[in-house]
Amino acid sequence: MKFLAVCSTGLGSSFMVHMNIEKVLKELGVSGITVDHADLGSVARGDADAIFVGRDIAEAAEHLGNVVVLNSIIDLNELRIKVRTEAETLGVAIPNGAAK
Amino acid sequence: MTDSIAAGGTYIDLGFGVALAHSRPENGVNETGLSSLRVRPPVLLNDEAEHPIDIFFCLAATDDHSHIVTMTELAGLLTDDDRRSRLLAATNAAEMRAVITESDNS
Repeated sequence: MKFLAVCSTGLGSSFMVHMNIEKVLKELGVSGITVDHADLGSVARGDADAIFVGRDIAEAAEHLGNVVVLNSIIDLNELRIKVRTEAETLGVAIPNGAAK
Repeated sequence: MTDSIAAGGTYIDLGFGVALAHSRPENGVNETGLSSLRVRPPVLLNDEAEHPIDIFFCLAATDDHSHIVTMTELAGLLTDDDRRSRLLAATNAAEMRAVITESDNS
């Protein structure tokens, strides 16, 4: 299972989202999901089970498959909700599911 | 950098009035570093009303790895609701610097 954070350059916001996804997965006690980040140009459909992007490249990333659009790159609460939803949809066990 | 913003680069808007502008190493980066610019009143990226920016962070990375520590700390700062609020409320450089250089306990 793999979550990928993607932005235009693969250096800035995607890296930040990458670290924040790991933080959220740790909070949820989820294991077995690898996280990485990349630039939009180097990602192909099927590279990850869920691809997290900022809203500005939502359209450009549409073809990549399961794309999750974030309104804010630094809103940890939004990310908590969306990462959890993705994990649940993919059938991943969430040990700390009772926590907010 | 201004070229890439004009070319639709409002992706640098992280939300909450914070923008992270950055460039690829091959686009003329001399040294890995981070600078910040506080603007008042906020400016609109590309004159787009949905992208008001109060603080610009400007990241320069010479390769794919050298900025990892910087980014980790910056992410810690910006995703911490309390520190981010205080950063946005700072009225001078000293106050901003104090928030930025606080140790990240999260």
